[in-house]
Amino acid sequence: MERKIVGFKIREDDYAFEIMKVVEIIRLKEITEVPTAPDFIEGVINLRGKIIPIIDLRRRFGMESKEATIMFRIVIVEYAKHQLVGVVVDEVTKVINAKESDMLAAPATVTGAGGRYIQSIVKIEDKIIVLLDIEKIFTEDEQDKLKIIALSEGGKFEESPNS
Amino acid sequence: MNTESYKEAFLEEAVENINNLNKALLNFEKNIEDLTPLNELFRAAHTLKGMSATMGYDKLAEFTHMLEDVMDRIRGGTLAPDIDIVNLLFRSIDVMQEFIDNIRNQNVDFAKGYKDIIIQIKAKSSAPAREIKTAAQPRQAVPAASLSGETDPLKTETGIIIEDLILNEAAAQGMKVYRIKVTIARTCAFKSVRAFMVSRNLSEKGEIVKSSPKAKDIEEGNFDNSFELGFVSKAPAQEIEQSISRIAEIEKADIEEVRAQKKEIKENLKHAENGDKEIIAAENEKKPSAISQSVRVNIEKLDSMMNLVGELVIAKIRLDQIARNKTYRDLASTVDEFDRIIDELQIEVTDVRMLPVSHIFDRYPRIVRDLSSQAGKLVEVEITGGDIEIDRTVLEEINEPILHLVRNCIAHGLETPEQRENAGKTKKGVIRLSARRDRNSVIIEVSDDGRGINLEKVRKKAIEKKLMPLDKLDTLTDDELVNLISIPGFSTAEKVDNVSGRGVGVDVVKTKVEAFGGIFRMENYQGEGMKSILKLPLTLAIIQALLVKAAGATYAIPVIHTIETVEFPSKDIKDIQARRVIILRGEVVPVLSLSELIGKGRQKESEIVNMVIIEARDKKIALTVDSVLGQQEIAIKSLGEFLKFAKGFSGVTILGDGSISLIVDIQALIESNLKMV
Repeated sequence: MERKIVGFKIREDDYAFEIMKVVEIIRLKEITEVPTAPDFIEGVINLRGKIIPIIDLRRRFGMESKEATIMFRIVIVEYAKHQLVGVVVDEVTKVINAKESDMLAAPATVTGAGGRYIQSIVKIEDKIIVLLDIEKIFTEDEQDKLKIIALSEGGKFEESPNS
Repeated sequence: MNTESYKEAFLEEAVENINNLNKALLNFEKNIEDLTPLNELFRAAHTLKGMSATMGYDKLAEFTHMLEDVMDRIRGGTLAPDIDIVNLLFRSIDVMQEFIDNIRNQNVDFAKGYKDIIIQIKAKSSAPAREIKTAAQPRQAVPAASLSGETDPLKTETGIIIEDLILNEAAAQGMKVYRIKVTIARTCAFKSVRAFMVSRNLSEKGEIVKSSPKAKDIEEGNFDNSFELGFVSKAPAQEIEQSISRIAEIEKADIEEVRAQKKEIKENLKHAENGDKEIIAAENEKKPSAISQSVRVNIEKLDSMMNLVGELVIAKIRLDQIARNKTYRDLASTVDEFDRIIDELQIEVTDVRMLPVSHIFDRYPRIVRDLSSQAGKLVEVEITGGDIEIDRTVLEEINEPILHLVRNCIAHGLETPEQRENAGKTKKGVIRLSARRDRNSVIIEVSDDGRGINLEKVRKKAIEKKLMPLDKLDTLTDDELVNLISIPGFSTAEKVDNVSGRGVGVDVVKTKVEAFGGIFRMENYQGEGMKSILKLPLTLAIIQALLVKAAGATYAIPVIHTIETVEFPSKDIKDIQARRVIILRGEVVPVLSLSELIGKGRQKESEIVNMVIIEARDKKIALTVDSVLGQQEIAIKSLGEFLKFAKGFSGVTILGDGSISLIVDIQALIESNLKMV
């Protein structure tokens, strides 16, 4: 069994999404900031009349951000069935045919950048490609974030009498 | 149509019938001596029975059949109605509702406790209920002979009469006129659906010019098992026959061509022109009465239509902008024309989505009846303005909030009969539901004539919960004090009861109403009652908004929240108790910076500051912005599930140049910056 994955780079590292999750790849375009959104959400773009939220993977992985280059791309992926989300990556490399046998389960000890979001590790030639789990990237922290917002709001009401 | 869409039609009709049952039973309860509402009850139960039997929901059919029996016996005088029976009937309606819910959600024909009710009713009526007849066996058997006699068009000449005028006109256009008698299987419970399908199929081939019985009656299923149509078409009889008999449950379609009597066509027309103008006019009025004047449309289709219109509006705005910069001949006038058409289209589509508020108002009398009897109170519901129309999405969204308010009226507002008598009021309390139009919004008010809100209690509670410092609490007006109730977690009811729970209602109501751009406010009349006021947008999809610049980006503020825009000299902004305010026509208005509210810090202000005066939390607030770009129609797009937790924005819109502008949710934005107010 072979699976196709879409490879991309962030810094010098190779990552990939499953091709079935990738809807399209576009050049970087103007992103409208949503001021009150969580940090890792860069903003929203207008893709032919559709409003699509954009995630900055660098920020997601806790890396420093980088001045956009001409190679930067937005990978539009499908998340939670019908929602589209754009992911900003440094560069899209190519579509890779990965054999099932080349895909290894993520070792539990991986803690590096994006470690929490790994679906599996793909070894091709001497390259290691991290196949990311889209659902995890977006869901987990969304919920974390929600919790944080809920907490801070609860707190506000408590502290307001003294302010 | 597949079974799924049958099911949908069934569910919709079932819900209607259940509403009718509730209404009729409420009427009956008011005066148990008057048996007229029973006819309506009986009719609704009977329809429901037939429908469910055809759909194969035998348990529901059996259940409704039993009810029908009880009603029949009350009507016939063999069963004396009393309050127990009325209560049982009310509970039965609830069980039916449960049946319907279960059919919809789990596709099972079952409801908890339906057997129980059957047993109770049987005990009550102390006579064995009749066995249910199979599915849709006719209630009155029709002799076979009369059946065949009735449907043979060759033997009977009593069919509908098609006027010469129509015949001649058709002949002049090379069309044929048919008299069609459609016979629907007696076992069919969806006669109106079948009739509609007949009319739909026919209108593909020609025009229905007459019908017997009248189109409206056919549409509502008020005919035996056959109806007649006058039909003008170019198609041969055989083809028409095929197109009808394709439809399931159509027993037969007898088609007979009607020919004009041998007169000169011209002469006839002339004759018509001279003498029978009135008749012609009358005929013309009847003409468009093809069977179906209304069609049920799937809500999703309407939503997607609305979305498309929204996009069209955006494209229109872009085109406007392009046209303004270019000077092609005729472009401007074409764009104007285009504008007008889209405006009209938008109005039409919006209109299609409108529903009268009675759609939800009508549910309350029944609910109030149950809740008030539980609470040991006497309550009457008065409804005004039920015909005011509002977007169905808005309507659905406010059902729950209004229910909360009604519950509150019963639980907290209205007194017990004794308390009311002591206070010199009538024993029966009143809950008023009213709706009215106010320009681009609908105002819904829920009020009661109860004891009103005890301001002293509110004050105490506010102190207890440390909602605000004492000195500030003292400065609040009565109105402001009342509206403290809508702060999350605030409740003045001392005991928790099952009518209105923990009093979380009001803040839920407020949040909900504000979530779609509405305004919520309460008025208190100590000792005489209270009023909740919901100001709602007519539609959610396309709104008027003020575009402003702040922190380098463009934001849209819904006009419903704005009062005016002003230019104010920065030196006149005063600092009072570390808060910035302006004096606007003698009124002290706090100043907030939009840029600061969205976490971008306050921008340097020039000598003249642009301000938008907005209405938020019932107060005026002067919102400073970099500049005001103007008012414009915008189509609201959702930020999506993913960004729903981005506070302070209710959505986005796409501007003429393709860029995105966030729609500011003023209330939420201020709420998340509570300390600044």
